[in-house]
Amino acid sequence: MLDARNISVARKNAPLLSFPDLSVEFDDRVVLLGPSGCGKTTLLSVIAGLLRPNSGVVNFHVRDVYAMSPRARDKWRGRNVGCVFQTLHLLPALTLRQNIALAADMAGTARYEDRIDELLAKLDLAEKSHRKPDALSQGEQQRAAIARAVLNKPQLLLADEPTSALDDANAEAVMDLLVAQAGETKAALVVATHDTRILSRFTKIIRLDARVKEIA
Amino acid sequence: MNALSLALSSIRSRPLQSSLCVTAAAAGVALLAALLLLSQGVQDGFRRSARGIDVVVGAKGSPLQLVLSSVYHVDVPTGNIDMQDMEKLRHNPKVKSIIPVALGDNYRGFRIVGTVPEYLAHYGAEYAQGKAFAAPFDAVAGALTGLKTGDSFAGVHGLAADGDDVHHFHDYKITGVLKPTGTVLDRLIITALGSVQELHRHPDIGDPDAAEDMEVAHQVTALLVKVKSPIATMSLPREINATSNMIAASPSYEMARLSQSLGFGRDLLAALGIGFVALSALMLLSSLASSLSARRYDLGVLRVLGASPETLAGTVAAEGLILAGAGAVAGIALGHALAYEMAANISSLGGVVTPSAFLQFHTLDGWLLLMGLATGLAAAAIPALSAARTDIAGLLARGLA
Repeated sequence: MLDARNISVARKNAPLLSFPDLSVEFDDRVVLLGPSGCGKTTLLSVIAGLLRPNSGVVNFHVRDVYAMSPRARDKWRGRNVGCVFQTLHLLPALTLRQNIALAADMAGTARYEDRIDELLAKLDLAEKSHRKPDALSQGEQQRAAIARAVLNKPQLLLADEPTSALDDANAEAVMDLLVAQAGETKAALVVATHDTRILSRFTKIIRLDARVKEIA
Repeated sequence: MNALSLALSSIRSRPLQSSLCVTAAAAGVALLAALLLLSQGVQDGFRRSARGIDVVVGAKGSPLQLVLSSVYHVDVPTGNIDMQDMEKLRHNPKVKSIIPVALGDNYRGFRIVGTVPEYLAHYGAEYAQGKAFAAPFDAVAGALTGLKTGDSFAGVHGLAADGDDVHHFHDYKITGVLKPTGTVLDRLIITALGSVQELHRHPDIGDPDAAEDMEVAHQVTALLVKVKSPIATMSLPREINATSNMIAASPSYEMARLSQSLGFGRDLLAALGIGFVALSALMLLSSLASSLSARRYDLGVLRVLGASPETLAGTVAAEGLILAGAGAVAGIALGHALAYEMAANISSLGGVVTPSAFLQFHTLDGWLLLMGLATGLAAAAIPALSAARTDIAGLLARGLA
């Protein structure tokens, strides 16, 4: 489904980052593992069509992501890629429901209220759907961010350090949710992390010291 | 959610900053609106009062003074002219009609004008109560004089409201009160030409101005002349100025000159208003820039969710447009209220501008709204471009994720 080959990125005032090739299929659970500063987030940005690499190619269903026009790439990302950020980033001025609906609004897809209701119910957020983020607990915000990422039933679910700031129990809960939601939408899950507690959840581990290790 | 609703939610999330921006824009637009509305109102009022008067003829002196005193009743007359000069002019082939006016007295600051019934007809006067003057010393009061039918009073010599030279033995009686006309007529007391002349033909006992009064009894102050052809508007004054001991002036020409002389003050006020608007634009720019800085991560999230750079720029531009538009609308409403209050409370504007005219929509409002929106868009341009160029990958690397 997704192939990233010969990717290297030169960022301002930073050394050139070269990444190992990456191949992701449906139902894959891939972890990009490495210490801070090794380029995990940069590689996620490249995969998501947000950062054009200096060299290499990213193919999604054999289609070169960076050969698309910027507008087409934005649309592609909105419809096919779901992202979960480390610090959640729900928009503070919007309600929980509006934050989740943003995924459909920004991607230009139809806004299925039933789908939002279903996600809110499933993630135990239905009663708080009209609250603003600052009236929610950290866990509730995290669940809302995951709901937003999977609203459009993306084929690729990307998460950046989703568990780093959490204790063991919460880290487990978040991973349960991510894996379950990816499974429900049949999305491939790619997680960038340095958190070794969650490695057992993945079918493929990619160490960003350029060595690739696969597990069954 | 689209660019507009995102902009609205951003505005609502910063109530203090947003209302300050709207207030600053409203203050600038209100000042400009009030100034332009009043200026336009005064010009229209002057034009209304002088409509149909092609040439004013009076005693030698300043032509502007002649026009101001005889048409607008805001200056001292240049002197008087003999009735026989009027009759001679009446036979001039360029002259279509003449309305004589005799001035010199007032009641509580409202000038008493001795004239002919055609003067009232000229301004399309209608009666709110009572009827026209018929007998000597009958008078008709303008809408702003506060007089009512049946009132009687003695005129005061001169044009100052606090004069003490009262014509005690000749009281005027109000027979009718006029409806407002939006012209100078609203603040005049109109009587027959003969009444004013009669008053001065029989001066009060012991009046020190008795000799002068006797002269006035055969004179008028000015002649409001309508000519037969447009060309005569130019040629008749030249002819009168060259061949008689009178002076002739064109009201439109003199008022254009006056307007030019007063232009500096008006321009200064307009510059002040524009300065306010520019200041509010800077304030808006600063507010949007600081909002952008605080919302950079929010905009980053939108990009990740599939929003195009244009959508991000549109969100910021919409915010600028909404704030500036709200400020412009509030400023226009405030400007109208300000102009209304000034027209209603500044006595010298009475009979020149009609306050209720400022309660209606003017074409000027549309231009002011457009100017406000253009200012908002200009102020939002830099932050909007900056939003469109948001480096998402950089944000992600620095900690969005």
